[in-house]
Amino acid sequence: MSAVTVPVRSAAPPRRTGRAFLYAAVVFGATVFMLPFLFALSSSLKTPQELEIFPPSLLPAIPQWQNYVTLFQLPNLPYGVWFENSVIITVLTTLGTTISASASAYGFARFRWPGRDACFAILLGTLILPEQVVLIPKFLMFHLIPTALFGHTLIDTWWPLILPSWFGGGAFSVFLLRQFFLQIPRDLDEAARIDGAGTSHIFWQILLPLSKPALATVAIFAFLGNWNNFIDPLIFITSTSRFPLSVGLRWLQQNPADPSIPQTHLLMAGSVLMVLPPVVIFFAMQRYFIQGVAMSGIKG
Amino acid sequence: MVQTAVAQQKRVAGSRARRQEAVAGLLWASPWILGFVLFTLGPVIASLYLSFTQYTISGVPKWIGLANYVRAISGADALFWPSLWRTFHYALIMVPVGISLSLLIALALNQQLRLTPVLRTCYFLPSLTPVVAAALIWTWLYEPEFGPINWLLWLVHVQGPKWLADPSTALNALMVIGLWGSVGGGTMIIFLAGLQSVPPELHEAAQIDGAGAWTRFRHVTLPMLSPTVLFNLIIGIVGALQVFAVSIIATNGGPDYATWFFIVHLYQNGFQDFDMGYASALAWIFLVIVLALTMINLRLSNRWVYYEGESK
Amino acid sequence: MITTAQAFTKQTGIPVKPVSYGPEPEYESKELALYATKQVADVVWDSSCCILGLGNRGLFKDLNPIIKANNYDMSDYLPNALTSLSLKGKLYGMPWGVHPGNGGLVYNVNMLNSAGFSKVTEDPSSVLDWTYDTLLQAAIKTTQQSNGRVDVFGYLPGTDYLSLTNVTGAFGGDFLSADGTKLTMDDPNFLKGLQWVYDAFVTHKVAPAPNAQGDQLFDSQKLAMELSGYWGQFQPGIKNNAFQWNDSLQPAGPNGKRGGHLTINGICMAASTAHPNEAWEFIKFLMSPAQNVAIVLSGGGRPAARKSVLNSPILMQKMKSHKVWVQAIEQAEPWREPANFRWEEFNTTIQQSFANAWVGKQTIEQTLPQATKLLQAVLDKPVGI
Repeated sequence: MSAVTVPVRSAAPPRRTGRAFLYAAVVFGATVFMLPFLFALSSSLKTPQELEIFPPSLLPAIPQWQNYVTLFQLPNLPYGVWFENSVIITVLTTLGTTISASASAYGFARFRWPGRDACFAILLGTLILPEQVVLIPKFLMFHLIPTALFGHTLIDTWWPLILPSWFGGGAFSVFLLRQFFLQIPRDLDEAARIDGAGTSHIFWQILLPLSKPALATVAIFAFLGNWNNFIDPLIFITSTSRFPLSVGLRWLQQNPADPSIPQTHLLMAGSVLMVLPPVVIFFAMQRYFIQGVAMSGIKG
Repeated sequence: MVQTAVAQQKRVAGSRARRQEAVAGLLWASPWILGFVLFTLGPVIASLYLSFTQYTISGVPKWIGLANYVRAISGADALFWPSLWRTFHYALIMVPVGISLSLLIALALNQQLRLTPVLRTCYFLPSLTPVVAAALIWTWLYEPEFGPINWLLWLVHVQGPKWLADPSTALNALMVIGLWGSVGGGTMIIFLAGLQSVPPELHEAAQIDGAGAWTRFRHVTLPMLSPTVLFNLIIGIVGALQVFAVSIIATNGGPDYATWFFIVHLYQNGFQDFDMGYASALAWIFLVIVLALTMINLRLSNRWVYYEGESK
Repeated sequence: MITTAQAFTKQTGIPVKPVSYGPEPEYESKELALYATKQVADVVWDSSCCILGLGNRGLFKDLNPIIKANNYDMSDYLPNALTSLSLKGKLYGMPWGVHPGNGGLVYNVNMLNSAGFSKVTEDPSSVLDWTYDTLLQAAIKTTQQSNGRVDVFGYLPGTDYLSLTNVTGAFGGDFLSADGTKLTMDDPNFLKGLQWVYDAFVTHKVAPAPNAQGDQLFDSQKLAMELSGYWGQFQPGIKNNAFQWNDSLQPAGPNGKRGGHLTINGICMAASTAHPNEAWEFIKFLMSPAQNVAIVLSGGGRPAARKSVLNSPILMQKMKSHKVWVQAIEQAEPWREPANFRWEEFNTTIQQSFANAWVGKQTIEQTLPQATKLLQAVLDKPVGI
């Protein structure tokens, strides 16, 4: 192959300008996308009066770093507690999703059982099920059944938020992992089985270690989805101290205690902090992430 | 005799192995199965029942048959059809524009530019922003008198409209927010993944045949990418039809119902007016529409989606 | 509420756990869901938009028997407030905080003085003789333009039911009849009120967009006046006494009458409570003048509909404009809502339906047919909540 010479079509200079243009376009686009967020960042460092100046200033006159401290000191608005809550809930749901989705995917990918394909079709169907259809019954369910069984409700606890994630964690995760598992050759399974390994061993010691990109993808999607989840905590949690950040921010926005306090600068600061963990995680794991999506065959 | 016995033994052993496999498979898949029954199937059936009742939480469900459905479809609920058309309008624009932009960005980010990780994060950032924050940021950007957007327009001597406060511009303004928050997100990532799995040999072969970049895109990249496009299309349509939070937080469904989408209408009826029975009926109508659209999509996809080969 | 709860516990030894239900409007849906599942708190705060409807559904206990059994003295209470919270002889809440349906006029003294209104001072009585014409003129004169765009606005009206009825009520009209069964939107007095608001937004352009953050604009001196309420006496955004201001009352109409309906934040007892006696103790505590005055001073609530609170010398002295609010509260019409209790829906429909008028895309006449149709549809619905 290397012996064949092919006349090079495009001369060097056009490619360089084409490339430069591409860079310019991409960087411009990235800046436009980031602009609202940059405005939010600069607004978070302004005084409330500065926010009304016209023309709007891109940078604050004096950065009010203490806004970020004030954020944590608001009476009756425990931002710090909300942040903690979000971390705990999100970590637990991410763990639950990753483990139970891979277990379920294993069942779909590696075994034959009656009704398997019908179940998988149903699973795909739930991908398009609008969640509003089940919201009210779910609420009633999380109250009536536990009260009947143990005598107290699960409303205003984190159980309604965390429990579903340990039961398959959503169709998307199971789907992704099942596609991925299908592409791992069965010879490894067979070899292990001949050596007397049980299904558990195959799952934990063979399949999972080979699935790190897909697991990372599932974990990241789960983390992002749960960190920003708004509707479910809104419906299921009633005590301020148990809110995750998403509801807390909304509470901060509305703050019924004293509607006359302009909170925009604090709300911006609160938003900036809330975006930080997902950004860090995405930035660190993006290659894994894309690899996982690619290898899972989701595109096909 | 011996042969039949052996054959029989094999069959018995075979069927026992198959039973063991079935049991194991069911056990492993049980988390999802149980979750489905508890958190999806049960509630779905319950909501179907509720849709035939009049129920306001503080009372007992009262059976009224098809009355809720009749009320919706007959136009007795003056906002039902407008909110439905409005939602379709929104999806009809958001989905093609969104997918095209996502693809464009994915293509650009696939060119081995320097700082790609940073750039990718920049494009992905909006989709990481919580809706409350995004809505608030954009509300300020769109502020008619003191906001940056109208300021930029004022610099070029254009009188900016009142954006989110004006019924004729609110929907478009909201679409921009929606695009901003979704174009660089999951859809783009999935396209990136799809692009990276297009075999480079195909590109090389096309290049050797003298194909330029555009031709290569049309005849190599796009066909190879078509399953990904289909996936993003289906998920995109379902997602766009469910537009809700940004409307509630930024414009409250207004002004003059300009951003009153179907799910906003459902939420209003269920959680503001407490007509839970009617809201459940709306939810079911929505479910049927979504199912129908997905079926149509899948059916039509045979014409334009190219699969490399049946994988199993 | 937390400090109040702690004070109560210290005084009586009864433990109280404050629970928050989220901001409105999610508040009511949470409340109802909790009621359905018997989880609602024993003592519930709610606003008059919902008390009657919820009481009608049996969510709240009738307090009359309890009052009688405990020989609780009600002579101090404003009759209009009690009627507003009563349905068919049953009292569903105690009027813990009342105000005359928004109805406040927050104004910047310095800007008005510079615009030629020299009689305006920080004393809220100095604007009590204004008419709606005066207000419009003041708004026009304080609006400032530079380089072809408005730099300072004169007045921001409200666009919800309570804010609009302040204006229409002054002219003598309202959206619906006092018993809440019929629309009264073809009344020329009602239309005069709407037209005034339209003129402010469109004809004279003295107002920013309807969704503007009035408080923030006022605090930054980009807005000379705005429609507010009792809470307008608190403007924490104004730093270092940057300018003189106060929160007085919206003008009176041609007949010398001010608009607005008595709006009440009530304290109610859940019908499902397992501790009615303790709950009653807490309610009494919350309604006690001393407690109430403290809460008002801190900005945590409005004054109770009790003469001892309204005439409290502490409030008269320490609040910026409490004295003008007393007469407004005492003279306000009782609370008015649709007969089927769908106040929230009615309010939302109003906020939506007139948007085209406020941005100048339609005249009031052009928005009326659609608005009337939608509002009538709300009235025609079965009993809500």
